[in-house]
Parts: sequence; C-alpha cells; structure tokens
Amino acid sequence: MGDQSESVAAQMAALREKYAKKLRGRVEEIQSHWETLQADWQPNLVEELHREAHTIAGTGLTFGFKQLGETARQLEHAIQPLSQSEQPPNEAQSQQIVTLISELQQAVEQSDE
Amino acid sequence: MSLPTLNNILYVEDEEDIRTIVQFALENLGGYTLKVCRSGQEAIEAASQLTPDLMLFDVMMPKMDGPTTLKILREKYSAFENIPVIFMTAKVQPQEVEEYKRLGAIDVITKPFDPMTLADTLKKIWENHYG
Repeated sequence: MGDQSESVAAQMAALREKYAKKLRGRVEEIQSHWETLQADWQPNLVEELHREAHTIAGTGLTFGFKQLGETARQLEHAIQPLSQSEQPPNEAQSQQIVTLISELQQAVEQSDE
Repeated sequence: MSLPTLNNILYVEDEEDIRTIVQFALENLGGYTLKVCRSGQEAIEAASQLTPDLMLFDVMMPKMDGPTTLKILREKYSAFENIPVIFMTAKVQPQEVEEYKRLGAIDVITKPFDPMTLADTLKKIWENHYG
C-alpha cells in the first residue's frame, strides 16, 4: 500500500472511530425515549424514535458497523407501524422493541472493541 | 461530444455523519471540490454564488426534501436548469427510482453506500450521462 492510500485508510479509520464514540449516547437516547413512551404514549416522540433508529441504521451501515446497522434497521421497521399511531403497542410489539434496543446496546459494546 | 470535466459538486445532506463521510470520500478519494450544505434552504441561499458541475442531494430531509430543493433551485436560477443532479436515498424501489428520474435526476445512489467506492460510482454516473 502506498503512502497516499495508507493515509486515506488512516483518515477513514479515524472518522469511523469518531462516529463510534457518539453511538453510546445515541442508543441511550433511544432507550430513554422508549422508557418515556411506555409511561406516556406520544405520537410525536414515536416519530422521533423512528427517525433515530433510521439514522443509526443508515450511518451505522455506511461506517461499516454491520451488526449495529442491521439491528437498528430492524428496530426502525418494528417502530414504523407505531409511528403516528394514537394507540400504544401491544405486548408482542413492545417485547420486540425491548429486545431490539437491548441488541442495539450489545452491538454498541462490540463496536467499541 | 467530449466528456465535460467533473470538479465542483453542490452536496446537500442534513445528517452530519453522512456529510462528513461523503465529503471525505469525494474530496480525498475522488479529488472533487465540494460545496456542502446542511439543508435545501442553505443550498438555495448559496446558489447565486455557485456554478457546480453536478448536484448531489439527499432525498429525505426535514423541512425541504431533495426533490423540492431541486425544483426551487431550477425555478429560481436558470443556470441550474441544465446542471445534472443525483439523489441519494434509502428508498430505491423501481417505481421510486423512476419517480426521482422523472423529477430530473440522472441517477440515484442507494443508501447505505460504500464510502470507498462512492467517488468511482459518481464518476461512472457522470460518464454514462455524457457518454
């Protein structure tokens, strides 16, 4: 590998690391929004949660965090039918979201390694 | 017709992390010069000072999406009427892609994309358009 491509690879790795450092806070925010929603169902906040999952899915996969991005994509799809809904999710839907948020937290831990 | 040079790109994306990596990929790997805007509104405000060779717009943005930004730019500035645009989006069902092309896009780049090959993808689209 020449100097230039080494430098590009190093810069790319630095960008990836910088992105990874922000992930924990973002997933904590998803968890916090979900906790708020369980106590008080607000369609606007569901929409925000949906957007947060969508963003992590897109950026995660672009930065090469496959597990994280795919889990966020599943979460995005699980929240999709609930967004703009006046009705809180049923037990099965809630359980699926809880599981996916937990998997997302695990994926963030792995992205630190 | 000889191939026009691709150098200046007007890039609009609301998501900071994507902006960072696209800018890195296109400037460092592609050697292009980017004018980066965080919203359609910002692009419209900057447009009077710009003559890009190509526009690269995210589709889904709050307040003003990519297609609306394109429409306003082309209505407001005649110089933008013939500047090619590429949309970036995660929504790439065939009918969605056809709709973007109907709105004036020469092609669509699917999100998520591989930053390492983005500049090459752009170059190929440019060559196909003018080829």
